Amino acid sequence: MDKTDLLIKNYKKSQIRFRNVMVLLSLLMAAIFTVGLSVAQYPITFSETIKILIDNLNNTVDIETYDDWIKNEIVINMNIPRLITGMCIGLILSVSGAIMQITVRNPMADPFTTGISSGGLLGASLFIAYGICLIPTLTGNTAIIVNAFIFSLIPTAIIMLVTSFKKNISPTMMILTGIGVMYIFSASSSLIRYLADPTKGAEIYRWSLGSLGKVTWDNLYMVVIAAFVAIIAGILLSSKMNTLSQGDVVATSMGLNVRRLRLISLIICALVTAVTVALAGSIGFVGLVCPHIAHALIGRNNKLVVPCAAIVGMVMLVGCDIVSKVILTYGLPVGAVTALIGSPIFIYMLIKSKKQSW
Amino acid sequence: MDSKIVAIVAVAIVAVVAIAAAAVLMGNGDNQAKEKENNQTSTTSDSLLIVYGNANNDYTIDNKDVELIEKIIKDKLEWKETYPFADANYDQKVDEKDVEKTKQIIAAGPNNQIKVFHKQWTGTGYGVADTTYPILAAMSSSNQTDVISYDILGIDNEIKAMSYKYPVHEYYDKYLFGNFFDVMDDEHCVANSGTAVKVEKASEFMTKYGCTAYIYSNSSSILNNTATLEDMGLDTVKVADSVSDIGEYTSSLLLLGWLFDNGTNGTHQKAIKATEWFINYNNDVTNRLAKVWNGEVTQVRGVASSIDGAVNVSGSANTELLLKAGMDCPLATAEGSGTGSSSLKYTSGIDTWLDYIKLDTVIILRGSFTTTGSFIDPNAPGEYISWSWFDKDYDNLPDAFAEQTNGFYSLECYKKGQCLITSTMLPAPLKSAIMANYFYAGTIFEDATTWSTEYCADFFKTFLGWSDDFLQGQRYVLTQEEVCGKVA
Amino acid sequence: MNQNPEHDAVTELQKSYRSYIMKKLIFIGICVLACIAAVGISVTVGARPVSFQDVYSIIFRHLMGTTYTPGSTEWLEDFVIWNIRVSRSVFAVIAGAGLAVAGAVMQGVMKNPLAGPYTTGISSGACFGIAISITLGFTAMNGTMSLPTVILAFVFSLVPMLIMILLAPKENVSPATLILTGVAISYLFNAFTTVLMVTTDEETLADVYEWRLGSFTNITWSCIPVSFGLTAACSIILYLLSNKLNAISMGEKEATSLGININQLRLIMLSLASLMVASIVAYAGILSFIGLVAPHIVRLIIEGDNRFVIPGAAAFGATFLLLCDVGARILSDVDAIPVGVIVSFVGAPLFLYLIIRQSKNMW
Repeated sequence: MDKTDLLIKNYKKSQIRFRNVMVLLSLLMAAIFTVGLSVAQYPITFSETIKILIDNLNNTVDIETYDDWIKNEIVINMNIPRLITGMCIGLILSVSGAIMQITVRNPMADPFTTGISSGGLLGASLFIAYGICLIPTLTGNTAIIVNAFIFSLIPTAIIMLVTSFKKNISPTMMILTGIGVMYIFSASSSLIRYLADPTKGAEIYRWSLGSLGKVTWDNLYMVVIAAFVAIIAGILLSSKMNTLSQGDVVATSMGLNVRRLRLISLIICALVTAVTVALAGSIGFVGLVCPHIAHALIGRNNKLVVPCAAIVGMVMLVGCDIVSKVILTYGLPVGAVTALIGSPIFIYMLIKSKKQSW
Repeated sequence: MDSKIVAIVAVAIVAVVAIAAAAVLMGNGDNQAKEKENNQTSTTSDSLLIVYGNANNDYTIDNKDVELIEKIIKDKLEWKETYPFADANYDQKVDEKDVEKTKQIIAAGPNNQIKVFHKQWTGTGYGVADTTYPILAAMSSSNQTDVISYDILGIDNEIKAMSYKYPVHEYYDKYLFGNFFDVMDDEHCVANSGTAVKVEKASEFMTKYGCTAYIYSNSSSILNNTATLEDMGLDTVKVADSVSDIGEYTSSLLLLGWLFDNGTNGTHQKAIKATEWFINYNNDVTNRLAKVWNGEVTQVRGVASSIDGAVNVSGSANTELLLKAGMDCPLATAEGSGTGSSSLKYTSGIDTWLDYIKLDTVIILRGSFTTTGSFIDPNAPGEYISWSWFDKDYDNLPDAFAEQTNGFYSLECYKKGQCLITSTMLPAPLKSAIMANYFYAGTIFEDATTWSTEYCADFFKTFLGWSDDFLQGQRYVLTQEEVCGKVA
Repeated sequence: MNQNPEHDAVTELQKSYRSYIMKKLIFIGICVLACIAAVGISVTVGARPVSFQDVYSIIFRHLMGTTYTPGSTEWLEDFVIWNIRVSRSVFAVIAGAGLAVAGAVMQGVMKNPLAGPYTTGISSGACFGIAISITLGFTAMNGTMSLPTVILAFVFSLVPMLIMILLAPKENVSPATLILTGVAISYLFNAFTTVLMVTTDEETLADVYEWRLGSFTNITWSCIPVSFGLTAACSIILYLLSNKLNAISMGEKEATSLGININQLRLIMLSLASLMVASIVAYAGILSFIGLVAPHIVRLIIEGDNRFVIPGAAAFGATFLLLCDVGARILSDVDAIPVGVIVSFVGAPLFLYLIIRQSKNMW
């Protein structure tokens, strides 16, 4: 009787903890969002921001001077889409990261483990340097996005192909195949960048840096839809993830079709991450460290970890983006900021993982 | 042992971060120091032949120099400050050997070449190099600013091979660079990116054509294997480009013209003519701009954009030109990022920080691959066939203008109609003239384009020999007002 | 008479052991010969057209001390052949051997078939060190790499190395973990290098980018002393330690019982390997996959005895890199393709193949 009581007590404790953590994180997110509305290179005070928001909601926008116009532009057309994008991408990356880490049974996995970012870069380079697009009628930015999206799915397709040939492919094999393909693709895009004209080479470089600023109100729906798909899929899969993390044999004996689950997780993660890469480039470290931060906060129950990681990811990415906008005069790419912030956490993770059995 | 390793890792990380931060800060410091040098544009240096042996600091080496050196020896005159080029053999002394050397220089010719010492621009200052004189065959960079200089001097026969940055040479303007088309192809290519002349290829050309030198300038990329090339016997001659101060540029023209003069091609004379022409222009502009420098006329604020999606900042040639044209360029002290430090992207989607900066005008330089901006049918002078920028064709000017100024629409100055496009392939002094004319239309110049158009026409007629008919309808600048009509 | 059966058994054993060793030595010998042949081919390939026989007669005469009048055709040919081609080939041998030995050692120490200078992120760390050295002004990328540069490169390659040690094999660390960590570290250092490069000028940026891809364009004889010295010294020391490496691969307990201090040995061997890699990266940039693929292929043929794998990998790696360099020079007359790109294009598919092929035994 004591043991059951203990279990129930622990369970309730973890639920309460989860609730507290989520509330705190949500408040943090709301605070960062509010701050982010008025942060830009141009000086805008907070009250002005509120006024602009209210005006727009009431449709009473009154623009008389250039100053008014630019402030309106910044808040409505720059900051808000950027914040929303940051939240969506942060969510997508960390949920995918959490799922990938369980699926391939490796704490170092992240959404780009299947080679998605290198595929995206190759697609973008091909279009920027040579104008080759898989759907020949598109031009300009749309073409880059579509190309990047399609190409980023190729490594995943290869992994699935290899999987279908071998009956009992281990998750490690998946990772390694993904990495092998990633190396090939990045060698190709390096070659393209090197041989192209300097202006085109510079443009490819700019694309590869990763930035949240490329998403406009027109594109925003893509990211939002992907984010919704990610969180819903994440929550649905999370209970199965618990079973999977017990080990393949145990999971199968509990009636789980392990192979099918792996494939489905892989495909969903790949799709949503590909949207991210196509629209914003590759932003590293978010998918890698956020699930671990979630672990540290609320333990290893995946049903709780997935939502928690989602919010942690949102907070981290939006925070880093705000920092990247104002640091060093004209800004750093957000990937560099996430790397700077993520790496101490990453190293700490490594040190701690020695004690765990992975 | 575990905790020891953890400790080491922690120390290592701290060290990494510290050194990286230091490096970033120092890097910033260096850039600032560099641009302080660049912004001293108010004093111009002298034009002279910067060869050691040219004791009297004029445009040539002749008996007057010999006499001056003998006088220095006889009267024991102080020469280091006033006659630095009297030391013809660069041994830090002025003596009989210098007289001997100067006489040898005067007597040199295609059949007896000798080594001369001359000033050489290096990345950070000036040095001295020695070069075989006269140069009968050479290789050169294919940077457009440089090639125009070669056109002015008429040394197209002597250039046997070039490095090129763009693999498709048919996009080079045949009116500006026609003389060099033969050497801008695969067979005559000696580098592929400009930063390292490929040694084996260079040696092949040295044997095949007898090239003894490689000419390049500040605009070309830094060569990073000059040591190897010098060891191999290839003289590298680095000159100042047309963006530099007019004294330095004309000194470079004189140097090249003199080095390449083999007695029959008259390149030295052409260089002297060009020097006088440029100095005249420069005096004209300086006189007119005096009103800006002494505050009578307010400075115009603007920026230049020569790359799609980016504006030029500190370190870019175009920013230099803006400053020389009397403008206030608020980005002149900004540092670049992403595409390299001379330009800064102004939009990444909707990230337009450029809107925050108060500007009076934007100058857009386009046309890396095309002509000077217009096609005139020689059979139907006065009529335009089509406009070509960046290998695209447009049916009408407003379309061309609109597309090339894409990205600046949200700027206040654009809304007021204060924008212009000119060709990036024009020589720097011409670009500067165009800018000055436009900025100070009405205050210093009568209108926005007449003076600069005449000036450009004079240049092309004098140095490239374009006919009057051809020059008749050439346009060198498109203003928004002309193309799109007066804006409110 | 009755000692004969034992005697026979012993001689049988000796004979089979000898033939076992012979097989390995023959393979190493073949690799060395292949390397020499590759050098022979490499000096005849280049942009300047010099015929096959001429190349060798020039080299021979140079070694005999013949000099020519500067500026003459023969002098130019001698200059090009000797200073450019021969030095480049020699450096390719050094780099290939050094990287392969480093890779073999890393694989043994980490007990992970996927360890190598590139996959563990050590090359990226060294690259970052070079970037710092450029920013601080120690070197101007014109081929005259100073010793401080190599030292900085080494110091910064230590960070990934230490992180790797943290991942030292407990019984249940999968090989994939190491490589994923390596990818993360590479990304990290690349991001730092990008930030640093933001503040330099455009030309240096283009230079750094080309060199980062791995290029032999600026190799002259001045690059050889430091890289050769460090590579040779470290390789010899590592070879002398190869017995102990064998012991480690048997297992921790077994090795400790033989009196080997595992942690200390790991630290020493990885440091030496990093030093070698740093000195090579300083001159040639990041050459991927050699350290990974060469030891593997060698092991496929002569199995895992490190006393033979190390020399064998050295010879094989040198040949591999030489042939890639020859390929790069043949493909582009103007030497436009950096050798690192060719190596990636050859190495990445090999890597993929190795994974798929080895999936049965390894994981």
